[in-house]
Amino acid sequence: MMTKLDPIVLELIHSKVSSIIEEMRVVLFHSGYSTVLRESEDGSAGLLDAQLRTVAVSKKLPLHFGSFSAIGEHLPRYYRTDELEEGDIILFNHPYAGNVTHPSDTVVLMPVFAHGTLVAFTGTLAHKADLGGPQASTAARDLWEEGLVIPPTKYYVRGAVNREVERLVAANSRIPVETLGDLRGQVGACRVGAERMQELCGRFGVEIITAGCAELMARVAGQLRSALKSMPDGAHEADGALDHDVISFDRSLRVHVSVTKKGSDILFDFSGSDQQARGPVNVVPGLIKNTCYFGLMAMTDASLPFNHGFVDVVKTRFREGTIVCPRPGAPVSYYVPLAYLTADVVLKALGQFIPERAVGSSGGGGGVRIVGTGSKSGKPWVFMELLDTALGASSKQDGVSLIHGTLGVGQFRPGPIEIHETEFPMRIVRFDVRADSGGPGKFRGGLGCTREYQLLEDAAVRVRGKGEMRSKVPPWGVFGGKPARTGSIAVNGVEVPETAREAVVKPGDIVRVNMNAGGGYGDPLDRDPELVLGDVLDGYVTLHGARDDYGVVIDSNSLTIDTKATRSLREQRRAQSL
Amino acid sequence: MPRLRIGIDIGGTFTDLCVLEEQTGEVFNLKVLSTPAELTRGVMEALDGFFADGRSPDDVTFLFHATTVATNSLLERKGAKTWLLITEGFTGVYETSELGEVRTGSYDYLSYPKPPMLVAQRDTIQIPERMDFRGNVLSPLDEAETRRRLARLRGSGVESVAVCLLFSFMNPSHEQRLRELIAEVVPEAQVYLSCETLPQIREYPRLATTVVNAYIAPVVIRYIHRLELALAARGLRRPLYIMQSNGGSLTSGALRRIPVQMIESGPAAGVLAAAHIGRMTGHLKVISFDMGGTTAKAGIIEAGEPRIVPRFQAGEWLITTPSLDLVEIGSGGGSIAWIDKSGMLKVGPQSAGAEPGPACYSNGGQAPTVTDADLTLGWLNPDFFLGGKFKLDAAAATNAIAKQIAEPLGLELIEAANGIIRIVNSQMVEALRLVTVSRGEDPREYVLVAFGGAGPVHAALLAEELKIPRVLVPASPGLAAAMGLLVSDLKRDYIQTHFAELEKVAAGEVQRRFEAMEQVAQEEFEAQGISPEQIRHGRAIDLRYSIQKYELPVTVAGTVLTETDKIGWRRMFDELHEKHYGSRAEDQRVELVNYRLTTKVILPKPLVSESAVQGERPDAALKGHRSAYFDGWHDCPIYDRERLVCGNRIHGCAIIEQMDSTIVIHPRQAAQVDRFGNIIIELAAEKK
Repeated sequence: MMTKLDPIVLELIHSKVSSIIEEMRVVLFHSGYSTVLRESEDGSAGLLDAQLRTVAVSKKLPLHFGSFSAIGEHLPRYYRTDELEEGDIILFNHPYAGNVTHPSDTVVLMPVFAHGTLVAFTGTLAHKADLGGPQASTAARDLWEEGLVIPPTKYYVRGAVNREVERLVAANSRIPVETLGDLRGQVGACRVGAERMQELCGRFGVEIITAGCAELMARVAGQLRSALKSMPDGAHEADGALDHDVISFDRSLRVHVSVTKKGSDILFDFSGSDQQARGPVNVVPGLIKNTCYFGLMAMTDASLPFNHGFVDVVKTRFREGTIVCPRPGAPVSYYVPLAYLTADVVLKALGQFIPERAVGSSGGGGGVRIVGTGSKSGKPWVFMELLDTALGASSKQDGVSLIHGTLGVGQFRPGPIEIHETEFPMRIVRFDVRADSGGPGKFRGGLGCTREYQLLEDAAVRVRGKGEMRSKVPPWGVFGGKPARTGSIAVNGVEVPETAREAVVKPGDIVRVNMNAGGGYGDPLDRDPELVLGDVLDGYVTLHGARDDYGVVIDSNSLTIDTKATRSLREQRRAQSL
Repeated sequence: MPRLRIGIDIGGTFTDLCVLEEQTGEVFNLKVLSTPAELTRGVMEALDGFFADGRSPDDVTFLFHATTVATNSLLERKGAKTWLLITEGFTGVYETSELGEVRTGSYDYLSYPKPPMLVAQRDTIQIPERMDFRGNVLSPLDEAETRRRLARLRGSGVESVAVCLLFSFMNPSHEQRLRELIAEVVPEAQVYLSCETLPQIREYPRLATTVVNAYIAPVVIRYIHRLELALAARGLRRPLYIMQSNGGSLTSGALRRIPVQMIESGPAAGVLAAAHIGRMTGHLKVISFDMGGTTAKAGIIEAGEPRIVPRFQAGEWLITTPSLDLVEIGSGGGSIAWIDKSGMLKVGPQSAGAEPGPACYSNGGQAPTVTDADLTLGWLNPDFFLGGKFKLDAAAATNAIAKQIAEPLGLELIEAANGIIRIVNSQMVEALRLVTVSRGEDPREYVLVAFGGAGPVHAALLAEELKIPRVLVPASPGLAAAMGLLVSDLKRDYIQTHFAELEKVAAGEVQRRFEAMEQVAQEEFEAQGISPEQIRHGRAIDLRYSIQKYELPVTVAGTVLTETDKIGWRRMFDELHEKHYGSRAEDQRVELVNYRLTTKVILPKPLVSESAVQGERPDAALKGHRSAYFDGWHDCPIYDRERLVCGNRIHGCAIIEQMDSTIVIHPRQAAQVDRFGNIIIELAAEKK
């Protein structure tokens, strides 16, 4: 190294790049125009070095961790480094030429120059409310049915917007004003990040910054390797299954991972997963890799920042033509269920290496989409909100209730009932914690929710299978913990069959949405009866649930534990299970 | 006859008393240790110290107070036994807690730290009733069934009940009736209704804020009661005014219903002091920077007035009441320096606090802290900390840094100490950047007012990095919050949601709604003994583009509103939206969400004593020299603040010592004493 890179300068660079990311996020969400971006903060900001390695990315949304790194494989095929100039901004959303999750997520990438040298890239990834594609009632059968796809393309050339690209994007969106507004927000955030990066280079010098960023990645790689070293060697596998792909309802889809760990090396091999799906539930490898990074961070050292160090250490293997490595052209627009499921599968595999960190499966993601046409105005309306599931239980505590699982944990939550009823022709008649939904265990899985919508006008509800397509293999428990109850959609108390892509509802009809819960940890017969009684008092477990799931007998009048009856019931149950 | 205006601020470590003689502008200060177990004791000790000099309690005109009692009872989870009443079928609302920012930077993704519920589901009673969004009754309150369910309260030990029903801000009748029904069962319990605490749309923030209010209320009320008894016993019979998060004071009587407004009491007083000093010296854009032992807080003042935000975070809880825009930075003098697993030097967020304190306190603290680094660099005087009341052990400080930081990292001692300072400064700079640059404000237009014990030690370096051209250190930086109390006004914020499309709502209706709110405010203030002509109302409406998340407040000028005013509001909203979010949408529908009324009583501001220029040379205040480190060791002159007079000019490097703080002036910087006794540090135009 030509210049001195002491630990103090390194920490200064580290805190600086972290705050650049934060500042970019603030700009991204504050200038975002559409509800999706502003309401759910469904987007991320990243800083990459000149070789397109991720130096820093926000830790808030694991869903997007490695998404910026993934572009490194593709961008050079479109632009040589000497074809990039100061002020250029590249736009893309192509799942197979940019490794983007699905075409609704657009990436904006800006090369950053200091004294004429390419020193970094700033990037933003943000969900777009509409870039064309099918309406709710149909499921895409290939990529071209999923809306506009954009390979890496210069959206700005030397600081000036490329009007042709802008017109093309606008023409392909049902809501062009919002879409272009959001894109401008992404550009604004990248520019702010680029300015800060240039200031940083001005202050410390390009060499120090370049060396510092490389060192930050090397240190994360080093820390991850030492965490891996302290993990026992071995090979473990895990799998999970989606009920169907929204087109072929009789075929479930299995995702499989085999994890081999030796010394400080780790390989996640997904090649045992099922053949790719006809429907849009496939997931590109770039996103599957995120589930590995997320899983390792969650299971080893959650204080680690995410950067390219993870990419350097974590090896993955895929087989082309599978649901986790589909051939270019396969549809991916409904990637959420499989992506979240895979994160839980990765955690299940890693939990076998580190039993004290093992957790029951989370309930994953999910949400509700209802569309209608205003009876007076004649204008179409689209109601969409994300609903919470729950986390699985661990060796120390019950799973967290009413929260998004794994990749979106803590980030997404449902909208306010009072706003919904004011703006949409509906009433929310119930929003309860779902009793008995958490997987029973010594520690109980977190609880899902029940939300009921009473429609006041004709409308249609999108249906994508049951419980995020996890009804056949529900979110599992570990070490004797039981699986969670899964979700469903019902209209006026009658469950909507999973083959229905849409449920048509009339004024007065009530749509009930049950959300998945989390899996349990340990044998439920080992749960402290006092905790079971507490759950009954809190309405988390019913009296029946206490008896059937936990073997705890509670007097329904006095609400006290019948110690004797409990002891004998539990003994009887244990004897039965032997 | 003297006229004494008293301000008492309870902080984590010290309780400060500041008394102003209104006619002469003379100020008396007193600092005593806080008494966390029984907060009123410290207050009384300070007052007794003051009145022992033969002064008469009869001469007191105003008595202002800032207290941590509300914050402590929340953050330490020492609130009352609280129950919650909700609309039947909505147990999911409170359980889906809205998450504040996770401050540690480390996420436990597998057991995500949701803020704990202050009321368990088992202490929640579901009430059969329902309103629609217009406030029409969909299901009437079933009183017989409700009475049956409320019977659970009997004998439960409940002290406080929070009530939050859906759409109660549109029609409060069910909540109001519940108050009566609760009183039938547990007449001794306090009842807090969401339609009174926060009559605003969005059920979660309304519920969560009402719960916090109910949870801390009994503790706050007991405290106020004890304090007022003790004050009365000493002949102090003036009404007690307490500072709120919004930067205004209210009588203790008025705050009994809304103690949740007292959460940021002390920090708000500090920002007020900074705003006052700014106005006094002609600076209308001010960043207030208060750095103490465990945290630093920054506030923003624009156009002479502190910036207000509609909600804020206290610990893990999000609280929706108007508050001064305060950014908390988890770095203070006690922040601990450590080396992470990959060998990087980190500072904080762990703090040695006041107990055991930094290594140099010789009080059992072993870990090297920011204060230890300050001492090692020669910036602090081991023999003159708190005016010499407290000796610092310089050897313990250097030893801790040498052993735990310098040696493991292979650095020189001084590199390590300087590194600790650079890192903690960098954290504070980034936090200050977030409140300015990322909100569209240019720090170069601001003056930084630095206070708190550690603020003036670090402020000049922070300003340099943020390119803030000027730092101002008030006369008593350690007593700024108590000073702020003395310049406060009475103020209460009212809010009422009434949702409508701006185009469609008649100006006359807006007018009527404001008049109704003003009527309520008028009555409340008059009940506090305020004469009607002193009361001022400020109106604003919250507007938003339809389907967007948050509203922005637009000022409503004039008392008689017409249809043309609506065009002006719309235009102001478009402009405001562009300023905040970088875009406007003139083709979009705009919705009127909330009516906001801020009712104020402007109190006469005290006279400020000024002195005439007495020459540039500060030689009379020179105490001596000591070796101090500023990118190399310097023989640095040390001045006594007490002896510096108006007009004195000091060129850096220099250190100015006073009882409650130390001001560090770096090379290339120059400082001057102004006519109010403030020290103004001018920074060189641009650092290379």
